[in-house]
Amino acid sequence: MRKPPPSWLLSVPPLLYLLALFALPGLLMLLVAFRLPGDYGGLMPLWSDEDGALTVNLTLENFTRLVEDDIYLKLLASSLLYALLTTALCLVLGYPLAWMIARSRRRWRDLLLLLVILPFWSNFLIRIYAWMIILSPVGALSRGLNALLEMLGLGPVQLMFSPTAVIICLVYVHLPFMVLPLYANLEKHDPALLEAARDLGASAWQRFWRITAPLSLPGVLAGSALVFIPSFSMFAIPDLVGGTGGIMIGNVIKQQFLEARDWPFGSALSITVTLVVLALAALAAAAARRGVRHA
Amino acid sequence: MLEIKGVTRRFGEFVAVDQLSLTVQAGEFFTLLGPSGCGKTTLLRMLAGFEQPDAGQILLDGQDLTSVPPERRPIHTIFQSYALFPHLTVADNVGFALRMAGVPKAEIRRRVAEQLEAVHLSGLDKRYPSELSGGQRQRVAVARALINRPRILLLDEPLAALDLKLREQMQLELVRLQREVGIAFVYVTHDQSEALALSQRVAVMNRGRIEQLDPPRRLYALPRNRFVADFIGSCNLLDAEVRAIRGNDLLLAVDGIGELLVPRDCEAWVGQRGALALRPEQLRLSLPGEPAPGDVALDGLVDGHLYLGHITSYQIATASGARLEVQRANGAPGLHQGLDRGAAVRVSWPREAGRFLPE
Ligand SMILES: Nc1ncnc2c1ncn2[C@@H]1O[C@H](COP(=O)(O)OP(=O)(O)OP(=O)(O)O)[C@@H](O)[C@H]1O
Ligand SMILES: [Mg+2]
Repeated sequence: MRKPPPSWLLSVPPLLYLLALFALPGLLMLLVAFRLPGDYGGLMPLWSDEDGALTVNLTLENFTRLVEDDIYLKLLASSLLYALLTTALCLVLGYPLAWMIARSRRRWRDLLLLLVILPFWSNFLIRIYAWMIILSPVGALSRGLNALLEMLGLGPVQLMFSPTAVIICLVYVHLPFMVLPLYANLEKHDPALLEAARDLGASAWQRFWRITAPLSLPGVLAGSALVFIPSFSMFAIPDLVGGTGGIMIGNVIKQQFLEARDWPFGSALSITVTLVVLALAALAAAAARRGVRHA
Repeated sequence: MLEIKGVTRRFGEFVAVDQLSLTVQAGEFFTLLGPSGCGKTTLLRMLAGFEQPDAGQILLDGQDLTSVPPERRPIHTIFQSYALFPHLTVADNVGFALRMAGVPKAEIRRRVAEQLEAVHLSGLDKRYPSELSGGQRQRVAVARALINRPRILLLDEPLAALDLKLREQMQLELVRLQREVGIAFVYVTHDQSEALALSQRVAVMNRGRIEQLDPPRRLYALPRNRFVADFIGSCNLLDAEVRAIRGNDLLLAVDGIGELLVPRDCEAWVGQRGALALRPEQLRLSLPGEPAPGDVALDGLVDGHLYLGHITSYQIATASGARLEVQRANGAPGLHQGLDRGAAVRVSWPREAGRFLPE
């Protein structure tokens, strides 16, 4: 009889995949973050042999620079805020949507889900350009909003090239990533649980907060991670609609690599962003472990 | 007292519950028994408030429940799947109703402990439903539904998911618990032996209507029609017609048997069609030549038998052309050995064993 292959064999392909696409590049970035930039971009050789004295070109300067000039930490903090706000807004907008889709008739469900993912069919940049038109001072949204504000006796606002524009686009782009995992979770809930809760005297409000909300926690966490992580390091949206006020840490990183040609400092910034994300993920996982275990 | 008055529920053209009326007394163990799809769950859901009747009224102690939502009815349900909250511990599940009602924490803790003891679950209060056996989950569901003393407890096939031994044990416990708390139970099952074992009264349902509503003994001994006789226990049913009425007896012409007398216990007229009902355990088997006890005796052959442990069930083909099931207690004197297929036997019974069931 043939022995079945050992079960660890199954985890080899994903491990290789992670190693090649995540661990190795990450390690590379980490190493680069301790090196010096080359004179014309790129990296300075790891060691140089000047006048017979061998110098090793490794430094902590990239990290000290990051903390000394508080502009970077401030940018990191504001990016964190953007990402958290985006996640919160996506959750507030996405939860009712996912709930409604999960509760709708089976015939409607596929159509509604299709509508949620429909935006993916057109290019990300094109969708942001579309928003640039909508948000521009002559766009319908700005004009309508300002007409309303004028009636209330308030000054006109500019949507385009502002943090508001960045948030709007971040939410717009990431909303499906919140809705889909939430839907997948809510759709599995046993309707008998809500009936049982109702039978035992729970009001609609209590039924939501005591049953639906805790049971959907895994979906909330998955959706939040999928929205938060790409939002935090986003550079294209602030580039296009943020103007000078709506810059994020991703813009600086991109700048270091493409314009300043300071790869080591760009790497140091990237590593910092990665560490912040990992720390937050660990926190969320620890906080949620108890709630998720039995859901 | 729960009164159901002419309640109807339709799903499109289909009538799931059809002008059904019945009354459940306070503190009664009442059972709805019927085949799958006869409308038991639908009726229960209307009592709980999850379905609205299309016609008719449901009254609890004279108060109309129609416009009272489920969360405000003093009626709790034990769902077939138990519907325990997977993210809450046993204690939080059991205390749920009190928590929703805003009872102080300390009192909830005390009453939960009390209730868990009543269902023999003390010590499991910190477990989650996924860490319990089927029987334990069932107990949690019962404790959760009883904790704030509803007036009526609805149970929808609560034991269907348990294996036989556990089911029998839980049956005894449900009866004990029901006596202790004195709350009316409305119990749904399609298992007739469960219905007979547990209930004070049983309503036999068929196609959204009640066929017969009686205490278990009466239901078994005096089924009112063919459906009930067939559904409760096993029964030989032979097409018959009333030939004559002789005092307190009816003379029947029975297909495959011929003419015979049965006691008259219902209105009947000459020429009325119906069925002769004979319970298999009331028929006697004897070997040819032996004295055959009873008023009616037929010769026949054993056509098959099922050994069921405490009894053996014989299929007898009579010489007159009828097929009868006869049950014999095993170990009874007389035929110590089982009878083989093809053995010649006599089937006999006292006249009172037969009943005429009008169509
Ligand atoms: N929501 C519904 N929509 C349409 N038909 C329904 C609905 N609920 C029940 N029915 C139909 O009504 C009939 C009675 O259903 P019900 O669930 O009350 O049967 P039951 O007696 O509980 O059967 P079982 O023993 O199988 O649980 C069935 O034929 C069922 O198909
Ligand atoms: Mg049912």
